[in-house]
Amino acid sequence: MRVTHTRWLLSLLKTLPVSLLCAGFGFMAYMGMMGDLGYDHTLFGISIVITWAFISTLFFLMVHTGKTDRYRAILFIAYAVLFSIGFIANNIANRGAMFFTEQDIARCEIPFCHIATTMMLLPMAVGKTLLFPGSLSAILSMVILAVITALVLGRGFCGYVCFYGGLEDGCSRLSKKAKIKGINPKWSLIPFAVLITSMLTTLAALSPTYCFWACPFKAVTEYEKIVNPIVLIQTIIFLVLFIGLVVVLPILTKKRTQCSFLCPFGAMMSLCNPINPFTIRIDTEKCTGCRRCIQVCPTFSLTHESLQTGKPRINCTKCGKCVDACPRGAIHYHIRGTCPDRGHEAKRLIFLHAAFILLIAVGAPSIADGLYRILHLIVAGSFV
Amino acid sequence: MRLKRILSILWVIALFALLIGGLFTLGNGVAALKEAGFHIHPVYTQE
Repeated sequence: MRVTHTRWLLSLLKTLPVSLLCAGFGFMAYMGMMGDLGYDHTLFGISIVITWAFISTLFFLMVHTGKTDRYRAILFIAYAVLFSIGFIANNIANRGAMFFTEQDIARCEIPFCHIATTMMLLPMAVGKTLLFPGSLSAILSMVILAVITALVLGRGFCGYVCFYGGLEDGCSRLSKKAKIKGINPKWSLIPFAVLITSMLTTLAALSPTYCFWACPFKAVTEYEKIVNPIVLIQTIIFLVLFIGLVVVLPILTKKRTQCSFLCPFGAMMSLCNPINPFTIRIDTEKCTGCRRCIQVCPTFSLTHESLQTGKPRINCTKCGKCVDACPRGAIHYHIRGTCPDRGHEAKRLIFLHAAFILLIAVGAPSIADGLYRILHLIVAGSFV
Repeated sequence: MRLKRILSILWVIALFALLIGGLFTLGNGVAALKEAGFHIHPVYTQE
């Protein structure tokens, strides 16, 4: 009995830094967003407290149970859904509609997301110029965040911090068994081609080509008002990509297909994975070759080769699904340069702290905002 | 091996410092980049 109590207490203590940080960011968001947006004080305060309790509880459960992906997925999916609700509601509150117009582009009032960062790097490096019709502060903040993320998490960003990934992660969990199997992992090289193509075409066209032509998430955030056939074609492409890569294919394959086959930001983060200290390691002596990890990996990061070398491919998102699924406990989080046979739990916790610090900084305000909109719907009968 | 381990630990500590420091001084970083001359391309700023 005493041992159980001590374990609970230890888990609570390990949760404390993340919980305090979340409370701090919640307070900052409360003070910052209230003035700008004119939110209802009580409702926004309640949504921040729920966000704090939600994140702290899930982190506690991760620490206490030793399971990563089960609780990460709950947080990640809720985060993506609430982000979309908050984003669309804010657009409607500010512009009166989900779409933006050519005037909004001309006034540089288009919100900027991390995926567009990939297209900003070359023009920034060449001529200190940003090719995006958005606020300079917002774009520079996102670029700095992307650099920090690349160094600290690598592609772990896609498993913890991305505000879109949870949508396809959620869809990939809707079916019990994969209907489409045996996809060649080499298809996951496509995002690197998308990354290079979008960077070069952005430079050539002086326009963020991926954002205007190939972003599936326009369907759940914002899109240009359809005023001519070109915008109509762009909107159809967005919808087809969203339905295909974020909804249908994840259900059929139980994989994150947009992240695996399209996202240029994921490709950029994959390139940063080798310089990142956190990684997944497979104990080749313990591994029985049951291939359970290969089946459950949502991003084709584990192959037969990985089981022999003990290392995943560079596009690993460190989501922990394989770690939870391995029946022999042969897969664990690892910090490069340290002894691979010891301190697995400590390494997992260090990684989770890094991931949650970024998740809280980037995601907690979005979660609170989405919750506020839902509470507003319940209390006042409308999202805005 | 021992040196590699020490370097790894230092690398992780440095990254946490970068993470916390970066997040809390994000505004200063943005101001510094603006001052250094980063700007939106004129194609988008001419209404």
